[in-house]
Amino acid sequence: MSLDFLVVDSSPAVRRMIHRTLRMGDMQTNRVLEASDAPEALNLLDNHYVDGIIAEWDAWLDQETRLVIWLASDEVMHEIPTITLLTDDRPATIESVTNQNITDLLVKPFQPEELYAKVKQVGPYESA
Amino acid sequence: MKVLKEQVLQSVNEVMAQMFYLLPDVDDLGQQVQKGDISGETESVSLEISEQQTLRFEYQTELIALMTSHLTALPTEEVPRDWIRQMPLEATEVCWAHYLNTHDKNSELLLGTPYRSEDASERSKTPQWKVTFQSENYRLRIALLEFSSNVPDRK
Repeated sequence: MSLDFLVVDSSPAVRRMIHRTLRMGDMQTNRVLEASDAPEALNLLDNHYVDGIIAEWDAWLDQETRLVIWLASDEVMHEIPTITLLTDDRPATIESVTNQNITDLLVKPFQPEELYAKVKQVGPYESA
Repeated sequence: MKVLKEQVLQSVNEVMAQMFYLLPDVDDLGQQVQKGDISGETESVSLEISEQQTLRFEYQTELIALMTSHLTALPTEEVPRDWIRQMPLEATEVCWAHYLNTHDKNSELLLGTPYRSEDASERSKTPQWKVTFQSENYRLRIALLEFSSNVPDRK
């Protein structure tokens, strides 16, 4: 089984680090698509099927809509395992995130091993 | 509200300890605090911590290139220039804001989004203190700037 992922982060260096991590060990990764912002991510999702998404909390579709919240509420996209990357882990922020049904979180800074473990935990490996 | 040097120093200790894969190795003594200037090319990023106060992070460009190299596993000479330009923003937000947050027990710090230190409004702020850290041969300097109309005791 080979899997396709979408990585959404404004930093090209962080995207590369995530890209590398998704090719670690037994990840079975086929393709890693990269987007620097939410509109670019949506454009990729319109044209490609992906098995998992790793996206930063601060990716905005417009002034009011965060990408990860839109993904969680979309009737098709919400089925794609998504890991949300946060930079602020203050309790109030975590609460506001989880209140939006965003539960698979990883707080920056993280090490490649932490991301690896999170991806393995969240899936799409559960059904593989 | 005053930001104490100690809070910054604690954060640096944690960044050095926990982000070891990003920063050059430090010796057995941990981070070294040294007086003196940073030579050569630098990249500066500012982080608002209150309406009056700003922390400015000045990275030697060589240090930023090395951090980017460690993060991406690209040889330093192959790291694109625009990645090096962006890395101080990412590092400041992710490392410093995160660890400053950890020591901000009473949630007093504003900790906005870091920006390049080219804002004219910064010139009206006066440095209150600055500390320089050295890791291998590379340096980072952190300075606290404050509007001169509200100059506190120097810490």
